[in-house]
Amino acid sequence: MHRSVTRVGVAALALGLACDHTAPFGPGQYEPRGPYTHSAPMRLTFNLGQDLAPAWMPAGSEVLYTVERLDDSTRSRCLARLPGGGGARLATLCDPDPLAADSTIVYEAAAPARDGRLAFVRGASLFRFDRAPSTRYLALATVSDPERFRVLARFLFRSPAGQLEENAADIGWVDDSTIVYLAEAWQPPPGELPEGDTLIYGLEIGLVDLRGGGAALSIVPGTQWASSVAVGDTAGVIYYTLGGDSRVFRRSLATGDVSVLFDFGSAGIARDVQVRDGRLVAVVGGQVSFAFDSTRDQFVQSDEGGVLHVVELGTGTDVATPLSDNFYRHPALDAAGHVVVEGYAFTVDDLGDTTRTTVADLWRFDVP
Amino acid sequence: MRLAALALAAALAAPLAAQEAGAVGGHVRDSIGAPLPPGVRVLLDDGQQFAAVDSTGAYRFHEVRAGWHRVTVRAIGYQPMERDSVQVDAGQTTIVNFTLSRAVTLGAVVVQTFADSVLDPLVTADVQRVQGAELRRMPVTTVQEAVQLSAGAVGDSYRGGRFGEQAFILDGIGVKNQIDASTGSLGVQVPPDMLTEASVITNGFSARYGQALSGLINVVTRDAGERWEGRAAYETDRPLWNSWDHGIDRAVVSGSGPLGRGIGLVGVLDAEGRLDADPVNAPPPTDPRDPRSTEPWILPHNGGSRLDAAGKLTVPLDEHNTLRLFGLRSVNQRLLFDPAFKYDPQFAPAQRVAGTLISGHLQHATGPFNVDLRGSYFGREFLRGTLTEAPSYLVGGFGTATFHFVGEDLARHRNSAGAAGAVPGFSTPDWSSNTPWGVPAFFLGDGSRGDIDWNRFREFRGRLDASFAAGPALEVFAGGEVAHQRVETFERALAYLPVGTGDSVPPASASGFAPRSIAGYIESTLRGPDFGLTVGLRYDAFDPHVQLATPKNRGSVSPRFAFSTVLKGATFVASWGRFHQAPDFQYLVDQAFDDTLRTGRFRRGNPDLGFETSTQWEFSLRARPTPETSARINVFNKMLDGLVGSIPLGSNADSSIFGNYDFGTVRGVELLLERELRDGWGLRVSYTLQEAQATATNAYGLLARVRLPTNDTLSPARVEFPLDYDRRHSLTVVAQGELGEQAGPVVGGVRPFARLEGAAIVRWGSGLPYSRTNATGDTLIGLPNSFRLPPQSTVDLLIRRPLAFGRRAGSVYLDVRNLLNRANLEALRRDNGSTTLTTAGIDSLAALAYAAHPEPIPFESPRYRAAADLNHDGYVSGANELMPMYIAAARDFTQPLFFYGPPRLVRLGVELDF
Repeated sequence: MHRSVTRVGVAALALGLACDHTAPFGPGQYEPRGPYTHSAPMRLTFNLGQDLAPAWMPAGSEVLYTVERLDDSTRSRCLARLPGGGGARLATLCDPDPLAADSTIVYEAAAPARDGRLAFVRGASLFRFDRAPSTRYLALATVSDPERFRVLARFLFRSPAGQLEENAADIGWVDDSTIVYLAEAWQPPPGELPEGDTLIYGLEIGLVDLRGGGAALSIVPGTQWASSVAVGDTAGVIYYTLGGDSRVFRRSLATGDVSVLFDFGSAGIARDVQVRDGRLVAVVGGQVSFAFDSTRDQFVQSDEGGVLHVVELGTGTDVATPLSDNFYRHPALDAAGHVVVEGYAFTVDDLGDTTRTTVADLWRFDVP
Repeated sequence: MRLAALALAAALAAPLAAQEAGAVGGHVRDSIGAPLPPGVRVLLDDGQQFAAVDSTGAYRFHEVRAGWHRVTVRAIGYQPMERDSVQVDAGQTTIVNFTLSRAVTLGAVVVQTFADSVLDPLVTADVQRVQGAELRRMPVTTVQEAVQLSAGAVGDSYRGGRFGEQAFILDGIGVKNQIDASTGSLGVQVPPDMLTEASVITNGFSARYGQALSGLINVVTRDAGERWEGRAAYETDRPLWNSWDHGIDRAVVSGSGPLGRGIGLVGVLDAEGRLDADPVNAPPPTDPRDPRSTEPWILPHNGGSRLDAAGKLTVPLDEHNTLRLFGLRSVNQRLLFDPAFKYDPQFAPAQRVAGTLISGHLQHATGPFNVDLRGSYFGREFLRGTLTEAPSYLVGGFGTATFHFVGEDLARHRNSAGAAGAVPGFSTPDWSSNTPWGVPAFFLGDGSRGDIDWNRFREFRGRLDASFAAGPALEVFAGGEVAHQRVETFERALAYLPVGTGDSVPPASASGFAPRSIAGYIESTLRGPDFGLTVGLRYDAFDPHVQLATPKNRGSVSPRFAFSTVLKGATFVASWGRFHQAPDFQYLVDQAFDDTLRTGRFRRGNPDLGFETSTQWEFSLRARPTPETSARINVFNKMLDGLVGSIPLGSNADSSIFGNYDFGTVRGVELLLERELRDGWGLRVSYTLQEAQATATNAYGLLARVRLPTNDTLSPARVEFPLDYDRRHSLTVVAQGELGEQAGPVVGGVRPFARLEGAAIVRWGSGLPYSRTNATGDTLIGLPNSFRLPPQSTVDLLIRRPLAFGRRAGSVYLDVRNLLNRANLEALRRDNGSTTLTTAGIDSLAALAYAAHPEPIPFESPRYRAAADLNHDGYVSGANELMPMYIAAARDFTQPLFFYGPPRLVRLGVELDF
């Protein structure tokens, strides 16, 4: 009799131990997955603030860009990681210091390296209403913790070529120990609340040599009035454009050899160059001008965007993306031919005047 | 004479014998009535104690440890007689009478126990006890749960008192968390398998013990037996599903036996893990988007584990001296569900309480003169804050790793200077984007609240007790104790911010001091033919060893008296006593906090605090209507004075200082009926009618004072109102039953109900008081605690079926708590007296949140919710799209959870004796 009951007991015990407990509830996946629509070009962001300076992460599936916060009166600009195929931001990296809550902090021109390092421009204002950052650094950190940064260069400074560098853009990794950047003038309009456009234009191309643990700055010769710079698949080679020029140049930093990679000719002024895997992408023409500014006593390229061109370097085929409702700037090209680019919506009124928004969203083109 | 004695007793107080020990007494007689020869000796156990009989044949052993003993009588010319398995209960006298025969045959032995202090006039205390073996038969898991079955107990509150007004006596030496007994746990928990018995004494307890106002919890651990035995048990709700599975696992292993040379060892390991350590019977949310709607029974980040390990070594040094060494280590780790972190639980708080108790007891027993020397070390560490990493689990909710907290090292070193900046490891919390609602409101993520809360209490205590029996009628007890303590605390709030940020981040508070306390007592018990008289006097003093402008004398004298007499089959006891306890040391140091009523944000510590005091009288009548039943009625009145309360500090309405300002009264009647477990069933019923009032509900309750234009202060009429645990009516019924070998039908050749044991505990209590406020929560409606919660009731059940596992005995059992799954309300909203916020209130909350963040939510934001984008423009924007999400978030955030008590909890268990 007892054996039967014992067997039941032992069986119940074994059954009990074999079971798992019910797990507590947890949050679901509520944020968007995938793009808003699959139409081409694909709109990736809808932020009513600025979405700027996209760069593909080395792994290729995510885009790092600068996002302007509108839920914060300082309108700080943070770094954000976005799925390359669209969807909700994976992370937003802002200054975590609560003491900075009343300051405008900006992270811009981020350039991720393959080893996790991140070069970028960090700017900060001292007060809430001083939205124009009063300090700017060319900084080096990691993608995971951009706030623990090392200052490579503190803007503004007078370069060896005599230019007063105020900002950096188009930052790229020439190799593991060399950073290239486009040195810019960065001139907000006068006034305490600079709501208007800040005039930003290229001055020259700079290099930062990180070897030996230092940060030695130098200038790439012959790049005065440069308007963009990029690195490609070949280490030690940079591609760049010059103000008012339709050509894209290729330069070997080791030998100093310079050649014309492509000339857009009558299509207009070329800038915002990107080169990957036999493809060249650049912004050409559009709302751009290059002229001598007597108030600044130098040439200034004023740029409100243009048409995105894709060139197959092997065949020389130049395809301009359809001019839809946007002017474009600062494309980022990955090896698979995906282009993420700042898009500025414009409208043309009945009189033919073009009105362009000053706020950029990110768009994606897939090059065949 | 009896009336005179009664009058005397009414004016005096009531102690009793040693709370760890009882007594054995009786008569030795010749079988034919002949006088006994001189030199008759009665021996206890192995002769460690012996007693001579007096001219009437009476003998008595006092200071006998609770538990099982052997009594032997030897007389020249008589057959030695032995009675084994004599059970001695703490505070009671077990009567063992011998009738010796000159014949060779063994004489008769009569063992009689004055059942449950019913008729024994020497028992003057209100003792409600549970035996270790009995505890296994009842649906209780811990010793704490067992003692909470006593009449008038509301959780850890006894006779309406605040938490921490009870003393915990373990094997004769006090153990108390003197830092924050009123708000925290003891820190150590005796495994039930270690228990001989636990009892609660709520009237005049012995002058031997202090540090309590409301009651004495007396725990006696067991000694090893003469042969090895043990038990292993495992209980779980794993095989159950959905709301029947709350993630409970518990394992117990215990063993005891001789090591040789009379040395005995007892060891117990009791471990429990729960995926939800504080389950609630709250209704599921009505919004299907709320993830709790489909699985409402387990709250995330609300698990916990408990590990209690105890060992005891009993070493007989010689015939009259025994050394007992006891060690206990308890670790209780809890994840604490915080509704604000419902969707980011990794940032919700957690806590860890670890306690260590090591004690030694040297007992010298020579019959009339006994000496007990005890020493103990007690350490307790409390940590609450943010975990450095998510816990890992071994089995269910039982983790393998010790919790570690951000800023733990700073806290342990009380490094307030190092904590002046933002503490590394903390990140700033922000509105969560992981909610179904998306909107930036109510729910937090990205960082914790930034609290670091640590304290450590260490104590070395030594005490000496001596007793002398001047014959069977008079016993005298005297002794004293010295305690050297070390108190360390550290608190840091908003640790992700530097101190002083925006004038809203207070500096870290750290303290360390070394209080000392001493106590001495003398007590005597006089036993007459039909009365007992106990008189005791205790002196307590403590010195916190902190700097004072005016040194304060903190000494107190506590007289205690009791008189009892037998009146026609009943025993009447009158007792009176005064009790003192040192305040929680947490009230000696500054505290910064925020409470829901904003009655205060800062309390200044007061190192000048003195003793809290109570004075209690009680009349008790005990009777035994039948041999199996007993009845008891107690009428008591307890006056409280000098309890710690708060008064405003200066002109800052948000600040106050602790002080011995509070006074109040607790009065009531207790009725206890008991039928012993005989003939297959037993029953215990206790009912309490009680009123507990004071001028402040707790130490944080603000005592208002008015500042006059002349700069004088005036205390307005000091109105008493109900204390937090003022339960007017409470009823507890404990029923036990067992079936015989042949009980029930035969099913498949088995009698499944044979030897079935069952116990049920039915509890009903009228509602506890609570306070109401206006809608904004800044003004009390009426006096504090002038509203009542609904009554609460539970039915707990344990059914056990003994089995044989091979040649081993064992059992399987079913343990069900809250069998009827009653949703007991433990709290209500103060603003509307309901469990839920009104629709208007939710709309108002949502509107405020929307006004703070009206910005559109773009598609690529993690906050974007496609269902909320009604016009499909890629934005959740405008009131039409955002407000429904804010309203849903507000409803989610305000859903009642901890207003409800625990749901039905079912455990299936198996145990094996070896």
